Amino acid sequence: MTQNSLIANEPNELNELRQDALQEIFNISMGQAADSLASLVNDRVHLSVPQMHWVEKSRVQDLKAAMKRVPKGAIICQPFFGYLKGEILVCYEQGTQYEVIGQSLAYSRVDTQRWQHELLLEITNILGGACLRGVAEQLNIRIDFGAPALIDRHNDVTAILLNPSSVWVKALMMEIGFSVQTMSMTSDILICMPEHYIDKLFSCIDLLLE
Amino acid sequence: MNTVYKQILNQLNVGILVLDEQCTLLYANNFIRDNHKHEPRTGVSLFSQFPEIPEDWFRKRVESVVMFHNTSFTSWQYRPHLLNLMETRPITGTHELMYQSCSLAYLGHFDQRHLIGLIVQDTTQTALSQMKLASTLKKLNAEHRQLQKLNQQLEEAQSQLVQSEKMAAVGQLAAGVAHEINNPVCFIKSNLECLQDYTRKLIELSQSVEGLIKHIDDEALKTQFNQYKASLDIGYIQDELPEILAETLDGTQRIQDITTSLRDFSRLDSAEWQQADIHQGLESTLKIVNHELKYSVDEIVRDYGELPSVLCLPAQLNQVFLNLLVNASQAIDKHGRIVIQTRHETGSESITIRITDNGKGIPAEIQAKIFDPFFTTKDVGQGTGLGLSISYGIIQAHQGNIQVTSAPGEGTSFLIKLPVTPKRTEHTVCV
Amino acid sequence: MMKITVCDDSLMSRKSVIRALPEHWSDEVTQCKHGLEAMEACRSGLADVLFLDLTMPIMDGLEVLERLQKEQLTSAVIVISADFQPEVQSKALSLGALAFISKPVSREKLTDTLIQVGLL
Repeated sequence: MTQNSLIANEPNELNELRQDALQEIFNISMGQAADSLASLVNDRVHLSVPQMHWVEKSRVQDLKAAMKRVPKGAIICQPFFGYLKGEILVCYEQGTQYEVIGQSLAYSRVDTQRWQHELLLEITNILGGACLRGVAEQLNIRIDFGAPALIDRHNDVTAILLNPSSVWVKALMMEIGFSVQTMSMTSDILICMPEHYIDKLFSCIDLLLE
Repeated sequence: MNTVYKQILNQLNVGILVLDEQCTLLYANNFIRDNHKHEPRTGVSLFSQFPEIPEDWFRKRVESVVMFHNTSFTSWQYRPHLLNLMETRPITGTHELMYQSCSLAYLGHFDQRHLIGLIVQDTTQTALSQMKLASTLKKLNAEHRQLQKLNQQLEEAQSQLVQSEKMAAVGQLAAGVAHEINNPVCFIKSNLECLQDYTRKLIELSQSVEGLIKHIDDEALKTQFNQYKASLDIGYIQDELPEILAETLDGTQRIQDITTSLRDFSRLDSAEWQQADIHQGLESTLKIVNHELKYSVDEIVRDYGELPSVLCLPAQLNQVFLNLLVNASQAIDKHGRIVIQTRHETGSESITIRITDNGKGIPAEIQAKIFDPFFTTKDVGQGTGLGLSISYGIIQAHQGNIQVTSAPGEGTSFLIKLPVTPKRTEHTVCV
Repeated sequence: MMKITVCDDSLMSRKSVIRALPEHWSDEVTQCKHGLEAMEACRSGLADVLFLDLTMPIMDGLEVLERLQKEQLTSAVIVISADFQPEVQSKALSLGALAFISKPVSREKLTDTLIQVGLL
């Protein structure tokens, strides 16, 4: 396997086998995450089948077109690191009923913005942990998380990705829709991994496919 | 080796607590012991030793950490004091409690129980400097906004000044021209009066000559005279000449009226506050705008009340009247009617002047903007958008106020309220 | 010997199921990428036991279960799904699935289940 292989829009190494495996690993991981989350918040949780996108920064507009939804709202990011490195971006649309989800996480005061933001940080942390835990287990690797942070109060994710001073050039992005049935809560999760770590990801998958 | 680990934990500038999933406190390092109000005991519930921790919320977090084997975070911005730890600088510090960012990490499964670590970082310095920055930024933003506002006011004042200067220059020119015209008009008028007198005398003479000739028996002379008189059309001249002279005098009188109005309007002598008759100002302004009004306005109703003389800058008030009257005429298509109403309530300190037209009116959504500088509904080049803003400034300088009421399709009414004797401040408008 | 059909849109998942099968238990394994293929396999008698994924293109697992009932096909169905929240499980079981295994499958999980439903 060669370094720096993402020359075309889709890397050569992303053959059908690996793509299938990657998709399945994420599917399984989302299933587990949904189950754990449901027991944590005592409600039916829906996580959509992850959509895989290969994105170049110069072509984020293509991502915008390819995404199932491009919601606008508070955007929270959380770094993850370990064997793989990347960031989780979660967008929470305005109009979310914070009371119910807040109560299920033992937040008694969600009326003020400060508490809502802390709640969103915690939900992001749980979502990130839930989604990637299964991935780490299946690939048999370690993934740790940094603290989540609110990076924009109202924007869409692609606008954040377009920030001219950010360092990424190409990345793998998994788009996952998240909703909790009775809480009228929906959010969109984007798990982003820069090009540099894709080879490591592939070597894990290849081990699994042997 | 175990002692070395313990030593390290105790030397850390970070607080460390270890608990199980039931939230039983198993360990607290020296940083916690040294800085907490009460030294915690181990082997009992975390919440008995740290009652400041919200129990339900914390248990839910422990649950999720155990479930996902991940780490949960709190930040000083949202939860500054998870534990009641004292600031590490009791002397130079400005806050009693330490600002903290914490992480709750899953440590693993040992001896049949899940262990969780609470790691507490002291972020007091960061927090304080950030809060200071934030408040400075807020102050700066406020100052910035104030400056912007001031700047806008300055621009407004400047444009008013420019306009005033322009008006003053035009006024000066007009007054100069008026003065120059007035002198020849004066002697033309007096000469004409003289001519009128002389003509009257000559006609008198000619009539008496005619009478005398009637009594002469020299028929030849009589015929010759009558023929001569008829050929010169003297009868007609006798009838016509006084009329021509009267008309000419009337024209001259009108020229004189106009030059006087021009002088009155610009009132070069009135850059200072003086007692003035508002009605006189209105009348001289009406004369100036007569040309502008006569095509669209059928009727100008003067509903004048009794007004005391008002301490004011008359030329400037005239400019306000001019602006309002011109605007009124432009709002009218045809068959217009402008009502000028003046009032003074007995005993009141102020007078009101109301100028009402029956033009197309001002839409509600722009009524609030009409006094803004450069706001105009006219086409580019037709209006500067300064007229009403300058009027507003002038009335303000007179410590009065100007209000508009308007119904689209029905007309517009401007109401000016002026104090009879404004308190003298530095509020004079430069001319 | 049993005739086995594994139906999953993911090749990796099919492989991992096949890898987890007990040794010397089956002599013939058919692989299907979606529900329609699985129906065909069942009708052709290639599926004494059908390992069935739920989320698939063209025809999903729940529809396969419904059709099997309708056509009175007797394949023993074990659902293997990434989505295993209680509602989905009970739905699948009510449509005639013998057991429900959550992904990822392991040999132990699969063996336990087969013993539990009496196929081993």
